[in-house]
Order: sequence, then structure tokens, then C-alpha cells
Amino acid sequence: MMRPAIEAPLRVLGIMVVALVIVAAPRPASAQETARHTFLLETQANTDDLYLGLNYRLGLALEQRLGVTLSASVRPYLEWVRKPVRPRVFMQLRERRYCFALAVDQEVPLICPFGLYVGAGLGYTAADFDGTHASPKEGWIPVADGGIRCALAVEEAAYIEMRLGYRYSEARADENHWIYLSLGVGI
Amino acid sequence: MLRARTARDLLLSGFALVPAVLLALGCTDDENKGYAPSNCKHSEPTTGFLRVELTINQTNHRVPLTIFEGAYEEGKVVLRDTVDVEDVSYELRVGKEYSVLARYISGRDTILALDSESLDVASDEYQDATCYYVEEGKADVRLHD
Repeated sequence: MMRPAIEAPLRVLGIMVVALVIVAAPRPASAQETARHTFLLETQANTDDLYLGLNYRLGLALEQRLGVTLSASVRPYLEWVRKPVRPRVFMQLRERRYCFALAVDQEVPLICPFGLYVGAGLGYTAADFDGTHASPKEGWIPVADGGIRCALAVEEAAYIEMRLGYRYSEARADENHWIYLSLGVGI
Repeated sequence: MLRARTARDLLLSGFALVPAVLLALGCTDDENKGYAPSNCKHSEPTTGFLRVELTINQTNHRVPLTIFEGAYEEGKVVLRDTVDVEDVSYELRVGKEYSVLARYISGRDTILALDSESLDVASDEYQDATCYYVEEGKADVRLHD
């Protein structure tokens, strides 16, 4: 079950975006098109956890479709964790967690407007607990992802981009395997 | 923990990001609030109520509770109590952050549930007055498996 506090607004806002995409009447982008700058709103989720974030991609070599991405994401709620403090004694704490990542990715055009993407990089996860100076586990983490990319042109040199795929990220969650979804614009 | 999230929920979570940002950037507070209500407090309150939620079960029918000012390691105990209800409120000074620690027994283990909350004064501007109130503080020290 998604937390009630965020479920209703997310559904309403989701419908608004779908309507926005319909009104904008995008068309498939050319298979040759790739952006110098791409700004994506992203989410990664599995059965235990959820992160929301921002992603900026800079196209370094446009002909080779190579790019570098910088992303920052946050868990939008506080997660309850139990931390052992001594034998048979545990502290139940509320944890805030953030992730930052720098990665290199490669886009591969397929049938217009679809393509593939694959990337890998290094991230850092930071966190804190409510009510205590004790620190959760933090540190550098490997990040890798890949999936399907879809680009729909809305202007001469701008398009809506969506990515759906798999991400591996050791974000100090119970599970390191994530479904990744992002939506944004390329210019 | 979030469990059993459906693919539809995940999709909507992602789609919700765009308008969420637009709304956050675009909203303005131009609401006309009219005249102050009759229960308006014209001066800043010095105390407010911190609500504490606990788990009461067969093993833990009376739960020891300690409230600290600041982080619990700093040891500034504001009050100690033993509680046999699942929802209790304490009147405390505003403008401070409080940490609440509840001690539970779970099988052979001891669980120390910790949460923190601040009691802050906020105000509403009306055409004829400024009204002050204390934002509700709620500490959740229930057992979360």
C-alpha cells in the first residue's frame, strides 16, 4: 500500500501530467535527434522503498550519443529502521535518506521514437536519524541502469523524453534492484 | 516499509513529479483571510501540546516514556511517565525540539522507539489582526515492524 498521505495527491497530479502531454500533442522525434541538455524528473522504486529526484544529462558527444548525468534524489518519507545498540536491545528510528550520482550513459536508437539507454557511475548516499546524533550508514555506492527511452518532439529543438528501465543502486535499502522511471525535456 | 506497491502506483508517482514541481514553484499565497476569528490569540503562546502515539498490547500494557529537550543523547530530561493509553498529550514550552523515547518488550528483545518533534509558533495575518497558534507536534513512538 502506498502511504495514504501521498497517494491521493500523486494520483491527481499524475492525471494532470497525462492531460498536459495530450494537450501538447507531441510527435515522434527523429531517430537522429539527441539533446545537448536533458532535464528529467525521476523516480526509482522497489517493493520496499521509493526515491524521487532530479536528473540533468549533458550530451558530451552527440553523434556517439554519449552523455554524463548528474542526479539527486530523496526518499519522500521517513523510513522506520531498527538499529542494534547492544545485545537484544534495538533502537527504532526514523531515517531520512538522500542519494546523489554521477554516471556516463550511452543512448542507442531503435525504432522511432524508441531507443535504449545504458549507463553506469558512482553515487553517494547520505542520511540522518530524527531525534539522535547517531548516524545511519552513508557512503559511496555503485550505480548502473539501462532500459527503454522514448522521445517525442514538441518543438523544432525540444522534445519530451521518458525513460523506463532497471537500476542497480546500493542505496542502503533492503533491496538493491529498482524500477526506474523518468520524464522530462531535452533541448 | 512500503510494500505491495502496484505498477500503476509507481507509474503515477513518476508522472506526478512534473506538476508537483510546477505547483510548488507557481503557488502564491494571495488568499484574503478576512477578519480575525473570535478565538484569535493576539500574543505568542509560550506553551503548546506535544501529542505522543504509542503501542499498547498484551506484552506492553504500561509503556515507560521519556521526553528530552533536543537529541536524547544530550540527556536533558523534560519529563518521565508510564503510559497505558495509545494517545497522550503533554503541555511543553514552544520553540524547542523534543525527542520522545518509549521502551517496549518484544519477545526477548527490548525496543527503544525514538521520534522527535518541534513545537513551533505560527501566525495567520487577518485584515484586523495577527493571530498566533502552536503548530501541532506529534511524536510517533509506536512499534513499527
